[in-house]
Amino acid sequence: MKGSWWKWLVADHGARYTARLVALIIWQLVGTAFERIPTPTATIGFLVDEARRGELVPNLLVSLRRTGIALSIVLVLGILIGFAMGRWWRVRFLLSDLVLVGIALPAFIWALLGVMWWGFSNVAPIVVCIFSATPMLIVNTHEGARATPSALRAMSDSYRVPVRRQFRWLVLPSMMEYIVAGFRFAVLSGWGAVLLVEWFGNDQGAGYRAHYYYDSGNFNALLGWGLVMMIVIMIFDRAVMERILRRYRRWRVGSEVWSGQ
Amino acid sequence: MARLIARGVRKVFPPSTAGQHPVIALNDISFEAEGHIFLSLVGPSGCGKSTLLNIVSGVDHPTAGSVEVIGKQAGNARTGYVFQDPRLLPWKTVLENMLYVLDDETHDQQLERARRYLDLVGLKDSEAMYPGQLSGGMQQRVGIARALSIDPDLLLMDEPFSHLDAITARDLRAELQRLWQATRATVLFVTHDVMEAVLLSNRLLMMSSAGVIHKDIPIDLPHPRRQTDREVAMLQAEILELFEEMQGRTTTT
Repeated sequence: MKGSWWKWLVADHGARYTARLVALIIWQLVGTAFERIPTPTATIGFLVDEARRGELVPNLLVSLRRTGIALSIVLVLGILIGFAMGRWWRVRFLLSDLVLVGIALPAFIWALLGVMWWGFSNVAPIVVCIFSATPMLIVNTHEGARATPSALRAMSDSYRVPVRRQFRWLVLPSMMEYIVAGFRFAVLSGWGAVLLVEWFGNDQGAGYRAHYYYDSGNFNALLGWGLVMMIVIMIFDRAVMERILRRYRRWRVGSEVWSGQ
Repeated sequence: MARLIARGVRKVFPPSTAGQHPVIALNDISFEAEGHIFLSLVGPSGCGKSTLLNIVSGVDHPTAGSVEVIGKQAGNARTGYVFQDPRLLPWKTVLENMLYVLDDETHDQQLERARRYLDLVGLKDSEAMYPGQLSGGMQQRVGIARALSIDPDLLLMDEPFSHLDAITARDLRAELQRLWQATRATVLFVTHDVMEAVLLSNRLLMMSSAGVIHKDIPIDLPHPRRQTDREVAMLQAEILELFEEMQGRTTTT
């Protein structure tokens, strides 16, 4: 009999939870069948043990602190450089090749260079994160700065609105969609860069712990830390970026999108 | 109130690509306006009216000649600008759009001033709304309130009602007459609509498509005027006749 529980399972929210549950069950079955594939229960079990040993939270916080510091700098640099490139063609010509190099150079090369330059310190993960993530933000904000409506700029100039206010009230909001899109990529790239530096040459952080368990051949631990790294990104994206975007898009609720140029 | 002096203003737009010719938008424009006057620039599309307005506002610069705007304090004239489209920041509320252009006062004084002018154009209750939630006429009213709120010596208006439907435009014209009388601003109004110019102005500069001033016509009718007033209708007909004459001369030469 298909009762109300069945309707809940196949409708909207229910369907999503059902899909996750099915994926977990399949994962558990595959993990049970093959020795080298960790199961969800073993992975969670490892994380509980790691937390009890006092290694989970402190190492995660170290990585988060490094990433937080670096991404704050990335946000300021990425917006300012991207804006300058979009506004002044000379700056664009000067920096566009450098930005391309920054994007094209793989993160693990940055990571190895950082370890060789700065050794086991906080400097390497932070600087490598900045090098790796800033170009991602610049390419987007650069497009955003070019998309600032020229009619609104002319209006602001005719009223002699101070440059700082123009930047905060006109330029930044018109770049917002691009900033959020670019910062999402920057967070992915920057977080990966921090973890890589920790993996290659550090004695603290999530990346260091993953490397430690890789050396000892612990599948459950490796996937456990992988899970933590993934959850960090998901929480940041849903809890921070989505909210910022929703808050910014309030003006569109019940109104048409302004298309004047 | 302001004193506006244009001396031999010429504007030539250089060709943007090879094979094109330079475009002469304005050719030796000279006039002077002073005091509580509503001056209209009337002419066909492409005769350089908006270019002249942009030069007066400082957004654009003349190729030759000069424009001087002298306000209450010499060299520091305040200029309000009402555009064809309202040009409001779509992500800011109506009140924030007003505050965007205000300066030189405390925040509380700015709030009081913004609300006073929103009240003047009948939009006091819409201050928390976003521009996209307002009708075209209401958006243009915000544009007018914004321009008036800076207490301008000179108010520039570039075909502000051309994008609106006839009924809304008629209401706003009546409202503009009332607002102009309530302020001390010198108004420079650009339009291609002779009826609108006669209804609002007390001086009219006819521009030809060659970018020159063809005729300077004073309009000495009392305000407020209505489209159906006999004198207004007669003057409109006379000026339209002058335009036909000018067009005829342009096409035969």
